[in-house]
Amino acid sequence: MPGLAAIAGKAPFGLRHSHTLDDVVTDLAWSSDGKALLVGSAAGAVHRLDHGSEVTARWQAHDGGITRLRLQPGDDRVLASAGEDGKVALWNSVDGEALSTLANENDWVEHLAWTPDGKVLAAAARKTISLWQGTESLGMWYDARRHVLAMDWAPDGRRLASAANKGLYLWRLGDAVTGDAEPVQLLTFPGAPVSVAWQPQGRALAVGTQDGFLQVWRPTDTNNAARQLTMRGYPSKVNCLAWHPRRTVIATAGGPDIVLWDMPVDRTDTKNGSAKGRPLRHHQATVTAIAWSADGRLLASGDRNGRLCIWDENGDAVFSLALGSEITVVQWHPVNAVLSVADGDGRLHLVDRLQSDSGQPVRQHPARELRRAQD
Amino acid sequence: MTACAQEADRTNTTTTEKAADERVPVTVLTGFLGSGKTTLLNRILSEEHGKRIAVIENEFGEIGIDHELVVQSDEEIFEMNNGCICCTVRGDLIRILGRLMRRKHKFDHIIIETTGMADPGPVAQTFFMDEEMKEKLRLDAIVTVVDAHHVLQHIDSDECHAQLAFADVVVLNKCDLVDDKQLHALESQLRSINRLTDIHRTVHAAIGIERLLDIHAFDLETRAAEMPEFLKEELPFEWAGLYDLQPGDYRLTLQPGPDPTIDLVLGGPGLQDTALFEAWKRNSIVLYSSDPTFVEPTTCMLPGDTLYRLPVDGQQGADATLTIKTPGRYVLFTQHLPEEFDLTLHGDGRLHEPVEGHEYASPHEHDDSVGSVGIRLEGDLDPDRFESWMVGLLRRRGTDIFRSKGVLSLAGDTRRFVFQGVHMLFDGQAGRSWEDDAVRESQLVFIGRDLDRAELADGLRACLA
Repeated sequence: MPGLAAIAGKAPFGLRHSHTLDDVVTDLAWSSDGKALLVGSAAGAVHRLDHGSEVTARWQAHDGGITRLRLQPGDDRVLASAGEDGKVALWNSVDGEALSTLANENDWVEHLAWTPDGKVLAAAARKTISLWQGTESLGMWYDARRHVLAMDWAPDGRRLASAANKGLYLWRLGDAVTGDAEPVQLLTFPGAPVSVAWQPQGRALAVGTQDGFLQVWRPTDTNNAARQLTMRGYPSKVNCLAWHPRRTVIATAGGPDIVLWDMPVDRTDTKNGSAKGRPLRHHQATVTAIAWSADGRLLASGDRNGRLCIWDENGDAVFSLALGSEITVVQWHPVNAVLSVADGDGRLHLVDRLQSDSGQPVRQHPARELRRAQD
Repeated sequence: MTACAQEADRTNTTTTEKAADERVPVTVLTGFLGSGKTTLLNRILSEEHGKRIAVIENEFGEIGIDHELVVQSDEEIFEMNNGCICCTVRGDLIRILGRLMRRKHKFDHIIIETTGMADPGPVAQTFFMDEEMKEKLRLDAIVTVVDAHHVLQHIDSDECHAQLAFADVVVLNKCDLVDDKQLHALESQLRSINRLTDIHRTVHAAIGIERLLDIHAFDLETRAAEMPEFLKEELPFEWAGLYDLQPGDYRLTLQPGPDPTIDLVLGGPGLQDTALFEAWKRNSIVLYSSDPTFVEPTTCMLPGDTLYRLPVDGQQGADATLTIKTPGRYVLFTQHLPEEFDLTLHGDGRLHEPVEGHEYASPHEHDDSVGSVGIRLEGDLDPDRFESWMVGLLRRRGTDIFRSKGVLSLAGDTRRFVFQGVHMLFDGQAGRSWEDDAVRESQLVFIGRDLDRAELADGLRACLA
């Protein structure tokens, strides 16, 4: 059989630990030292697991599902959460003590993000983005014409990219947030975004759409003209985006294949659209979660049927495991090659490197070409 | 359903061994403000059915918030960038339903409430256009609540037509405020817009939950099992009544009805013979397109090749005399249903009931209103020709064709091919096998705006193998 690669001797992984929670895990966050894992569920509870396995705290944070959990950069003791109950709250991440309820509205709060320096927290519900510094409100950005479908802070922590129907917008954090602030429109495209992600060094911004294409915006130094690229060919909505931590490579998924795009930022490159997406094939069902390890040497992916896969830097599948139900979140430990994985049965698994080799062959599907067009 | 006007998937026909459908059923509940939709929703939620139901309502909902799960959402319509202007989905639903489906204890049923002003298209298409929704959820039915008392005020609006065109079930509410004749007239008007809908009359929205939830109205297999009865024959008259009559004069009496005249053909005798009845039916189709003879107070209507037009006074109704010379079984073809005019036949000092009655669907001719066109065609269709015709038709007319459904006889296939579509999306699969003695024929219904029967019928005929 062509493309059959054994993982023997490569980087064997094994399931170290599984823990069953009250409901499906909707989001999770590792502390910066990797000693604590905070897990949010569809039942509204936050669990703190120390060393990834022992539950040392559990509290009911929301009445309804938790949508996002984010530890404050620079201070692992502060955990921000957002939920279907319309609440945005800050917690002591060690014992669950409520520090502050920042918002308590009716609409689902679907997005939550700290600036990389941890100074400002943004939360979005429907058409409104609310901002706080500590517990103090900085006001809100509101655009009556557009729902916030996805958002991400630029690495500089001053600009927030907000994806809306048919466009990508940039809000600037000024000295004060005023009610009549207007975003800058970065991109226009015919589709509806479902995901957005900045390249970690701010060199590019990617948007995945409901319509099965990927848009990438790259600021260039020539004529101040930013370049907009469109990558097509995904069989369904592009719901997974993960930039490599250091390179300008993005892993994307919109269907069973993961597609890697190498996005050189030099202005001399690939104007003619010759660059090809590189598909990574192993999943048989739609990929639901992907994540790069902190060092960028491993990529983890999970799919609708519960198949978990770990890929090495050559794009070879080095580990594959069936977990039985849809994978909802994958996230790597911030330091070590330890992966936390959550599934649709409310279980949390930890996967890490095995000492001994007990690998099994992993089948690679023959490559199919995806095309890339330039707008 | 596959993507826009793509090929009908004839390869995916191994339905017999299909695993149990674990997808969660979704009911779209729609209706104008004041139609009783909220009452109906509260009834469904408070009834002891043991189902775990989640409700997604629009912003102005009024249902009890103590219910297990109610999510408020406003319509976010996404145009799908695939070249079809009518391919739209609801982005808010995709996100909310995506999260609702990621729970340990799944919901048994999901109800999406929309206002009477909203186009049902994007909601319906969401379940066919988004891969995740398609895999986890099943559109069970679109249920439309109609206020029988007030619907006539807005029945001619675009919104109302769209609502009715999409409805799998119409709950005709507040029937206590309208008399029987008006209800009949209203029902036949609803059927002229959407002949495939099931109409339930209710008072205070009282209706058994089993008639609304989990009814598989979008399920092709279920539809295939019900068919071919789903299509009534479409003729220029709505009713044929058979009467056994002795020689003498008979008095035909009509009460005021929805129309100022009614066209009639009287045929016979000898109608015990079904072949003769069929011959009279064909004959009447021709007669119904001829010039009518107006019935005067002095006119005696006689059996024969005459199309009579009887004026029905708004206050007095109508009276006419039928003269029978030979004893036997006669047929009366009427343009409208007899209930609409309380039609009665008296003679020899007593009321004569028909020994047999047949109802037919009234045809929808080419006009710019919303209506249904049903086509029946004997013989086998060429699969490739049919497919390219449908794809082309839906590409051109998908905006105006709200729904399409059909059962087809494809050349070389031992099973029926069942399909249905929403705007430009359509999907099909193999249904029941053709019985040995069955007449192989195809039936199609289009529900939409500005439909041209001749164009559709010619198009289908050109697909014959």
